[in-house]
Amino acid sequence: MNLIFDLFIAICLIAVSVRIILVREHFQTIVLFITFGLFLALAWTRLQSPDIAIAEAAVGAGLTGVLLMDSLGAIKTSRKPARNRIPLKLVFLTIALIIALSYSAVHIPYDFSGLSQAAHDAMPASGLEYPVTAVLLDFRGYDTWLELGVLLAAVTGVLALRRRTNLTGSLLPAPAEPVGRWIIKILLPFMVLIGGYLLWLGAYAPGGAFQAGVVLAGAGVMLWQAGHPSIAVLPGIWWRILLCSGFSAFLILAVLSLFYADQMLTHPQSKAWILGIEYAATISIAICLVSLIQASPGSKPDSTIPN
Amino acid sequence: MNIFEILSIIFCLCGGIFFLGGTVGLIRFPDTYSRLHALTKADNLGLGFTVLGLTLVSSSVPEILKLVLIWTLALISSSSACYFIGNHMFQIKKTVSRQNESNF
Repeated sequence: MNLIFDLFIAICLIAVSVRIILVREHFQTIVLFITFGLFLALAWTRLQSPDIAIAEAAVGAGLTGVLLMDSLGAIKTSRKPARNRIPLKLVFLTIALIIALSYSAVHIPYDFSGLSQAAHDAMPASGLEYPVTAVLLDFRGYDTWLELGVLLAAVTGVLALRRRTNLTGSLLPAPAEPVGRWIIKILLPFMVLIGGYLLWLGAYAPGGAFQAGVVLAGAGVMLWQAGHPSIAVLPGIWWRILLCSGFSAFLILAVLSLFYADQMLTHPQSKAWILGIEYAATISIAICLVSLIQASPGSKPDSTIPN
Repeated sequence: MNIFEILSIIFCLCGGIFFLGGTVGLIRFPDTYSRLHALTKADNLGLGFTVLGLTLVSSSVPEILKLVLIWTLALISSSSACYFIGNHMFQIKKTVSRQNESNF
């Protein structure tokens, strides 16, 4: 039964990705892209990686969908996009890649457990109960640090391209109808609650900074879409501080650890540090993602000239 | 197999039938409003029956509360999304008919 379900997901993933390439209308492509994200989330669930599944469903299907829709509204293409041909070179390249990947996948030893045993052995040192969070924030903190840096760089790039130094003035017109206000009133407390829950859950179950940050970002985007001021009400200086708080938390830890340890990013009080970094990372991820969407081409640039 | 499990299977199958009906309606119905009707029916009743079926075999109270919470949130979002799409269609039709009037 499980095999049938797995095969179904695999076939759907391939079918949807083929459709994404072949479909000519942009709107359909975006909808298919969101569908692809949902199937991918299902596939991650079947691979027993709920952390990645939550992140994929929220980012791949949710926020990316909003970004793409927003961009589609901005570019206003002609009704009939050109017939796109897939270049033959690309087809050969893809087939070669598929063969190489299948070849290497076949040759993975059957009892290959990777570094999971090493991670389990080191769990007591981290003070956490959930190995994924321990790996992300303690054992491989360097990776997470640079990931936050990539996110920050992306936001900086978008802001630079859009010539924005702040996000004030990017308020959408508030909808006249009551349903939009009603749903915000009901869903917003829930989203904040679920964000906090996911953040706290990260210590001993699937969840953590990234998932919590994405849920909070969803709340921020919803506020903005309904015409409420979301992060635009933050004073510019606070907005900037929160934007890079996750990255700077890691930076501070790295610098401090140089004083009392011989290696960077090692810390004696693991749990307190991890909690602090996780809070900072959550806020920073949420603010970064909302800023990305608010500064995207779909939103009107503010009329005032940035100074 | 006790009575709860049998009831659970029956309710889950009911939910599946509503989902199937909603999907067929989404594909076959002629206009946006009736398609929305089919879609929200699937969301409300299909998910409702599935949740009802699952609560009968769930082991703890928090699990039941979480299932009911999922259904409630789905109800809220699907009814609001239905309103938004319907309202959008209504506004488009109003503009189109006004343009037609001004043409003649």
